[in-house]
Amino acid sequence: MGLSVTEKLYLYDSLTSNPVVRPDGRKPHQFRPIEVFTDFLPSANGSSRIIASDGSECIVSIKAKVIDHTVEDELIHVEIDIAGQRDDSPQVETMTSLLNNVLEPRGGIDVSKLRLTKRYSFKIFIDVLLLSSASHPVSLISMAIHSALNSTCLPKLVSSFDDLEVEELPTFHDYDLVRLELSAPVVFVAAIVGDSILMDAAAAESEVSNNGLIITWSNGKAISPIRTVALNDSDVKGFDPKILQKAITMVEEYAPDVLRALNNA
Amino acid sequence: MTEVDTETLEVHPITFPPQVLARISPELSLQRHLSLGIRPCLRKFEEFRDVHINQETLSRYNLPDELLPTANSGILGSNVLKCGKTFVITSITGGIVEETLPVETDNLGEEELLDMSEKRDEISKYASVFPIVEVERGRVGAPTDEEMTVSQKLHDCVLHSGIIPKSALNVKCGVRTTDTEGNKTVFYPDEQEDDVTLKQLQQQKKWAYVLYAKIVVFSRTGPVFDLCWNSLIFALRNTRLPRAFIDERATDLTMTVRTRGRSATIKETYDILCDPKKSVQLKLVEPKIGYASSYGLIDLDPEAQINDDEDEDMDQPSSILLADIDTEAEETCIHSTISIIGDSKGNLSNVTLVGGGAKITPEAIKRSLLLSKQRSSDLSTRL
Amino acid sequence: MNVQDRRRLLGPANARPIAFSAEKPVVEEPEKDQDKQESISLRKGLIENSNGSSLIEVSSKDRQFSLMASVYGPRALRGSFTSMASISIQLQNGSQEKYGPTQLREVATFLTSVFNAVVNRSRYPKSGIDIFVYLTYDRDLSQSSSSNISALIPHCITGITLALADAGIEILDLASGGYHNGNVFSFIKNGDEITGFWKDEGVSNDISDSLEICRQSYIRYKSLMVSTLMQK
Repeated sequence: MGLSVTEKLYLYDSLTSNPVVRPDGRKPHQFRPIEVFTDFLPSANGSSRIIASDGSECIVSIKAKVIDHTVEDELIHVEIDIAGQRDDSPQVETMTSLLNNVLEPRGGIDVSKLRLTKRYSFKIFIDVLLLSSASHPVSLISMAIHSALNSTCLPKLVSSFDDLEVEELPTFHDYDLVRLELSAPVVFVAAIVGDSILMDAAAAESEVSNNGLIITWSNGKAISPIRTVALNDSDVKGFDPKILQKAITMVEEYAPDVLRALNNA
Repeated sequence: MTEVDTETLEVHPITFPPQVLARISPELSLQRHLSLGIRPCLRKFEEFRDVHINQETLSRYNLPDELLPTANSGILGSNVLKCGKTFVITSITGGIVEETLPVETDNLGEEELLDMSEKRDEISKYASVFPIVEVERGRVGAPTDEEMTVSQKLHDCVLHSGIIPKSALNVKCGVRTTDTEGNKTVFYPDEQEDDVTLKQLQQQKKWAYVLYAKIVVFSRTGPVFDLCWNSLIFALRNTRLPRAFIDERATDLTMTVRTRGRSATIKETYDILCDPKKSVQLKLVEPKIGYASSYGLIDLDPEAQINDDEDEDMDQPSSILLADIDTEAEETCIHSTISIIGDSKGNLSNVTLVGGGAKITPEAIKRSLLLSKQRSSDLSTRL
Repeated sequence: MNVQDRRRLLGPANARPIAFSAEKPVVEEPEKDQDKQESISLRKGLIENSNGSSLIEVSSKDRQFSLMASVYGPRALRGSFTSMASISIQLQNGSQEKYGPTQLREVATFLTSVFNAVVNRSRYPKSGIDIFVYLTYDRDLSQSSSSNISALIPHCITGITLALADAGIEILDLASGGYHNGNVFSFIKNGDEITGFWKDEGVSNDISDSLEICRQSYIRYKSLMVSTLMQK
């Protein structure tokens, strides 16, 4: 459902006015309510289902496998499935590449938590199924991954940590699980409309935005990857360099609140 | 009634600039050019395009020596060939395949039998490369018919011309040993014959190199087979095969294996590795190397001639042999083609005649064989 | 899913690609002064069967690479009416299969969004502009062989802009960019507007420092482009 030219102009004017008037009355940095369900898949080590108020929905499941990290150094692997899209479509591939980049160990994620022994580690497989989305889904997906990882429990190691001398495979407790405290970075999408920056842009707002910014946040600061992204196909324009810094500051200011809300959900 | 018509009728000849005519009626444009003794590309009938080659620039063995240990480029040989406006980039990569041969037997009779049957089968002595030709034309998707046929023809011609003997691709495997201090050294049995202990380390398995060629054609203006062939030959001539060795212990490695043009990561236990520094030249059978050239025959259309003087020149040939077909006009209008792979001495490894337009006369074949000899001797001096 | 490719000659199925026993490269400090000694050469119009094309060769102390950009279009698009040209960008690995397909796809999507803001697309309704970037070679001369695609992005932008200009396609301004410390900026309008920003490494506090440095390299690339376009 595209907007007419007049509707777009009206929306654009109200979004660029000072103060910003958003169609649903939100402040520029305000998020819409989301619903999160965690740990509902019995066959996975961790899972989450996230539903945004516009009906966007995403399911994430986490599975783990024991690998020899001297052979394989990739410990986190993300796979994304978008309903109605082929696996090799540009959107799926771009999203996969971006999220693998977000969860790269050099960024905000602490992979030493996955270390089991001197030789073996857990490898985490994150499977994302995006059921529907009205605007750019990366923020929703990363929040789903974040809460799924928070709910993940992995078997407790009972064998010794130092296994270099004794050639033994790690063995696990039959029932006990340990909560994996792996805090995944969260990705924010900021829409740039004129000189205004809008967090969590709704579908109509994305449609009139001139550009978008993907900003990754972890542990109190914005980290890489950060990049611009076109939120629509028709109104993409350049923007003032100052906006970039402003958007990052905005994310750094409000992200802790968003994370707190997400973790308490 | 007829009188009225003749009064008002005025016939204006329509004239087109040459470029426009070439688009509207390539056939007519070509014929007009030919009648002036020149081709649309402004070459003479038997004139070839000039060829510039750039050897080995992409190859890993072109890197400065100190970078070789860390270089992960797997290009063993390369060539960039520029011919007219078209340029072809060929890069040779390699793989290693384990040969399913019976383990070294002492049964002499059996080996003799094998040898005899192999002699009958001449082709089985030679190997080929596996080329993938990509002609850039601004499209994505499955390979076009042209790309598939050129790839297949390159593969078959390399095999049947017998340039690469199978023996040249055998892996003479070394052994990497780790001494007590953790220093790794690689021994190659053929480099130090006298060492007895190494003989025991000779492995039972047999490996062979497999050569792949990626040939990308940019700015295609005409048929590409001869350009691809010449580029492939130049690239093969500077291909170096890395020395390979096996470790005392089998090593695990992760690597990408290409399937259906996409890369998929597959973990394998890998037990043969290549030396980043040492390499040997790929030994080709030099006398069998030939270069490709193509010719076309076209009938002159008497109606399209620009007859400036009183003609009736009976000894004017009715068809013309054109060397090195290029441009869209020539490609679409010439249906009789001769394609030759041969060396400067006249030894031929492939001749393809396609008659669809003008009659291919023995004289035309003789002439094109002669031209092909000259072209080959010119190309073979480029290295 | 496991369908054999019958259209290409793939060779024996049990062959394994050659693996070099490359020693793990020593990771060096990322602080490099590469912006200074970089020499760059631009050419346009070398691919005959495209509407516009360009070649960029860059060599600096620790990296040498060359890429070709070719533009095909505007071509007529079949299907329903579109009021603006749709741009598609493909990035292709050269002879070295250096970058993964998903990584290339992500960069291509990024470049598409940059050029959506640069090309005057409403001038070409119902048409498609196909852009191909071929990374001919890319050679790391420093020992730290990190497969860093970010540093290539400004040159991709320059190359595509030059090819678009060569094809006679209307653009709002000559776009180019700069790379510094993992930050990539793409500019138009003398650096007053950003059309794209890309950051794959590092933290966020160095962005403002990089901005000015990237703007300078943008201005340098732009003047090079202008002189390339002006010469006959």
